[in-house]
This record gives sequence, C-alpha cells and structure tokens, in this order.
Amino acid sequence: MPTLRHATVERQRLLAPHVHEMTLVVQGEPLRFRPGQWLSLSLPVGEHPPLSRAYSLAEPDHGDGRLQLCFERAPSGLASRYLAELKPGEEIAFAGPHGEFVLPEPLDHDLLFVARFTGIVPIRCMIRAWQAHPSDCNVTLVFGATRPDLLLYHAEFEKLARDTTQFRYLPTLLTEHPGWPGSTGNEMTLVHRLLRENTALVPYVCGLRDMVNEVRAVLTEFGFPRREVKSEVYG
Amino acid sequence: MGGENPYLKQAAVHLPTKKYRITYMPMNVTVEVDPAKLPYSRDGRPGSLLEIGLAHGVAIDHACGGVCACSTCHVVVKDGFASLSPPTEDEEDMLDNAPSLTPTSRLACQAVADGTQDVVVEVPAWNRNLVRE
Repeated sequence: MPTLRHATVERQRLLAPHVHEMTLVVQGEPLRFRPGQWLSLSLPVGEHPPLSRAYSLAEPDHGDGRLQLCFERAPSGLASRYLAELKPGEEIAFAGPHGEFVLPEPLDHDLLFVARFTGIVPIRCMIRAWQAHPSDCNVTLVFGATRPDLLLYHAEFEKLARDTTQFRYLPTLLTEHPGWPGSTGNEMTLVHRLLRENTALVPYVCGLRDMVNEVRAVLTEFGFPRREVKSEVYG
Repeated sequence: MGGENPYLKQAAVHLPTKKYRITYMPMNVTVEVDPAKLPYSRDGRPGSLLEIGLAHGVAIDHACGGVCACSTCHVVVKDGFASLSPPTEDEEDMLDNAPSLTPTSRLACQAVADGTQDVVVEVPAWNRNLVRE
C-alpha cells in the first residue's frame, strides 16, 4: 500500500452551501506538486477502513507546505461527512500527489478550461498558477453550475477577467434562474460556439463522467483526437 | 450534433448468477463470490475485483477511490480473463498510464466477472508496497 504522509487541518470555510474549502499544513518536508494534481486521502471510516478518496488541490504549490482542498459534503458521503467535521489541529493521512491533469510545460498554447460545479477545483489551481507566471497564452474558462451560488470562486474569476484581457470567463447556469444576468444553458453550447471561432487551443475538462464525455464528444466533432482532450472525472 | 454519442456507451456488465471463485495472488486469498451478496463493499463497480477483494482483506491500492480516475488498482488477470466485463475506453485510457502493462491487465475497480469461470488475479508488487510520486 502507499506510503502515507500526514497533514494538520489549519482551517475550514464554506465556499457555498455544503461546499467546504479546507487548508492543511503538511507535517515534515513541504509537499511539492503540480497545479491540477490531487491527493488520495486515507480516512478512518467505513466498514473496511481506511477509505481512500481523491480530492483535487485548489491552490498551487507555494513551497510553504500548505494544501488547499475542496469537497462537497454529500448527505450519504462517508468521507465528506468525516472531513467536514474535522477541526483545526486534527490530522489527515494522505498519499500523492497524483494525476496528469496538469498545466502544459512550457505554457505556449492557448487553453480552454471547461468545468462544472466542483470540477472547477483543479482548474482553479491551474488558473492561479497561470496567473502567477505571466505568459503569452490566453485562457478561456467555461464554467457551469445549477445556481449562481454554486459557481465556486465566481467573484475571483470575474475580477481576473476584469484585470487581464488574456482571461475570458464564461459562466453559465444549467437552468433558468430569476435575476441571473449571464448565460443559461449547458457548457457544451458555449464550447461549440467557441470552437467555431478558434480551435487552436488545448482543452481541459473536469466534472462528472457524463459531462466530461459530452464535452469530449463536442471537441471530437471539431477534430480533437480523444487523447488530446485532457480530462479529470470524479465519481 | 446528430447521431449516437460514441462516448456515452457503457461496456456491458453481466453480473454473475451463480457462485464462482476469485483467487488473489500472491496473497493466495480465495473468495467464493455469492451473487446474492454483491456488492461486498463500497469502492469500485459493484461486483468488481476491487470491491470483492477489499471486503476480504486484499489490500489493493486504489488512490482515486475506485472511480476509474487513476491506474493504481492495476491487476494482471491470470485466469478467467474472458469472463470479465470488457474495458471501456476510459479504462483503457487509464491503463495506458499503468506501469508494466500486460495483455491481460485490468483496473480492478472496473473489471466485473460474469461468474462463468473462476478468476485468478495477480496484484503487482507496486500496488502491494507502493511508493510513488
């Protein structure tokens, strides 16, 4: 089984109803990771503990040993219920980092990110890393959710889009919502429209498997080979 | 878009209708799988090599929690390969990242036996004593 490391909970805050952002501090040497990677938490819950559950890192590596995770507290979710009740000072065992859903190196292509709800977490991490290291590449984010308050980090993305013309933010609600001034409809419609303008970009998609597959199908229609669509799914 | 979405097809999974055995090597743990008791645990597809093994003390690493989002639960099937559900493209994508891939490699979280043959799987050393990244 994997070699486990340990981290201490520093704080938790709610990003949205039932969505927690947790900051941890790694014990010992800081963990080095690439933006977009995830950790496998090893939790003392369930009938056959430990329970392994994967959570993406929301904030890039600043070299200080801090790790930021986001998770939705699901009513029947053993792991998320356990995590939501952890207090500052309590400990978590983890393995990783894992994953190849990461920023390209070198950063020399325009990027298209497509996310739904908590699928934004690894993408937010990559956007923060991109923002911190100026390059010539442009970034477009298509972000879907069912309600405005579930567009996680919405204010942050809006500010970034105001601050730099290299970042284009296209939030959309999946269903009609009174008072919402922006786009309504699924992410695929926006992706379709964007690809009609430009296909010279690297696509990244994150969400539940069906959503990822639907976006991938649109990209395939525009000539992207399956393997060139970078994707991350969660169950 | 018209036509059938090629990415929404799921490989057919036929759950067993009669008892069969899975042997996990090199631990040499043999489980008699009773279809009436599936699933035995929570991680991986119901009836998968992973969920059955976990419930019987076979510690197969599965970093992503058994949702076909990594390749850490890679196992090599020694017997009964034809009785397993065919891999999806998603599983094949993940297997491409697995070390020491063989023609009978599968992700334990995705492979579900139909019970027509007994199955023998080898859990590779890197999954039993994994030090990575």
